[in-house]
Amino acid sequence: MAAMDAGRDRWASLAGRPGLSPDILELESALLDWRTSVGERLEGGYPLASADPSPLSGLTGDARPEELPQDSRTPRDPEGASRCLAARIDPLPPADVLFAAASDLLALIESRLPSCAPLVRWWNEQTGRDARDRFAADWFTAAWRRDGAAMEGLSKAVGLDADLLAWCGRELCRPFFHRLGRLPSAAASDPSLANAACPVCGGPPRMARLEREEGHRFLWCDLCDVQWAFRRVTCPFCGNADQKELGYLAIEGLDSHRIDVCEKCRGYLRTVAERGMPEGQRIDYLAEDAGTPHLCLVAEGKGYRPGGWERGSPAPAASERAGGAAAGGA
Amino acid sequence: MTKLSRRGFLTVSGTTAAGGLLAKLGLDLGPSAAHAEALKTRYARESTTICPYCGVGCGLIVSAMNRSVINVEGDPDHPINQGALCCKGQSLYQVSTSDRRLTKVLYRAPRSTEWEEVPWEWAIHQIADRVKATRDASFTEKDDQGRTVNRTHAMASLGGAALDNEECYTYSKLMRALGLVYIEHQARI
Repeated sequence: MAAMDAGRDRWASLAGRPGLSPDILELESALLDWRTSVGERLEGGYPLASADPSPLSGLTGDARPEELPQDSRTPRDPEGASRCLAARIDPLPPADVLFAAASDLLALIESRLPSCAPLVRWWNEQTGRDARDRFAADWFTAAWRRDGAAMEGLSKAVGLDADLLAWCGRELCRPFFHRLGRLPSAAASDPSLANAACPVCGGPPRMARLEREEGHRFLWCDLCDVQWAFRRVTCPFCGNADQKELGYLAIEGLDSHRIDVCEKCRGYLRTVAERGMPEGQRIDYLAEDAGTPHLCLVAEGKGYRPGGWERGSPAPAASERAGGAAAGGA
Repeated sequence: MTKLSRRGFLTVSGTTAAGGLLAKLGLDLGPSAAHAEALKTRYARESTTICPYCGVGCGLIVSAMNRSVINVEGDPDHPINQGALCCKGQSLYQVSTSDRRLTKVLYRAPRSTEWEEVPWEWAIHQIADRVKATRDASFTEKDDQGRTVNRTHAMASLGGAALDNEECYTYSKLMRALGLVYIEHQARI
């Protein structure tokens, strides 16, 4: 329960933030409680539906988030950087574990999101477990793989808008991927700092952080709650390193936040600059993500889009920066 | 049913992504939209460059807004300094922004104790006249052994650290053309 209490504290600290509607705050708070309860059921390690759990053997340590080396710039597992963890295993949990998590999530959705009622209705109308188990497995897989075509097929079956179904599916995946992200060697940074894909799920970053001490940039994945180091002056979405096409939106009176933008792909990335935060304060990615929807609106109002890349295509390699090691002085 | 474009799908990659998704979920976006509208943003750009102050060649990231430098910091991705800077490098932005930086030419006449403001044109002519006079008076075409040297030992040049590569190149060419032998620059230390 300590984790749940900590979660409530986290959202309570968000309550005074300007621009955050009670709707969003309450939903995020309920989702966090649900994720915590699912996570507590996974305490024994990450369960796999596949017969061969060997890829995870040795990785099932019970590391707590606060024990992870948050600021490590030394790649802990170079192998993990070239291929994301989820690509090496099938992260699908056993049917009964997934069914329980999905049922609880849908109960939460039913009470808070009338817009998603068709999904809840479909789920409740199924008489047996088989159809729901099959759906949950396909839904889980399509969501973490960001498989638009598969999600579209599922949306037709349940009669819910595909965007909403994808959003709900991603929520379903989160407690499981958060658990994968806690495994000791899950979050590795590519030593070349050129890999923008999440080392756990292979997806694009959701937010970024500029660390206080030396200004290193860390990208963060909301699905897996992991961070990894990436180059400072390169777009993580399209690999563009042309400094004339990269910039950021500075917010007057708010030194701790900025919105990095790329004029080539028009992608944006919310960034927290620790040097603008009070001394000693650490970033809470989940709270920052939930607490800054207004930054998304600012960026989107200026014609930028949430950055990403097409599913199935690898994260674009950051082009080599020109002149990076030129001789100093004259 | 909404057709799911690739971009559309990318917008649903998280909990509180695009405004469109939040609205679709039926969440109240009013406070966020009102706050977003009240925020004033300014576009800034980051450029990587090299510190001019010494031969180590530390990498820098310079942030500029409206053609003004707003921040200079060590480049964390640069292999030499990995984000760190010495105290002199840390104060580099003052080269551009310090209010103690001279913006007008000040002249102190021989034996005077006062500085006086003078026009640029007057100052440049004065420098040219004195360089020419000194060079003409001290120029050596051949040394004691009859070798052509075309030089003067009566003048020296000290280049400032804030000169960039291109300025140093041009400056060095000019000094060599005048016949100077003592050409020095801060970055040699």
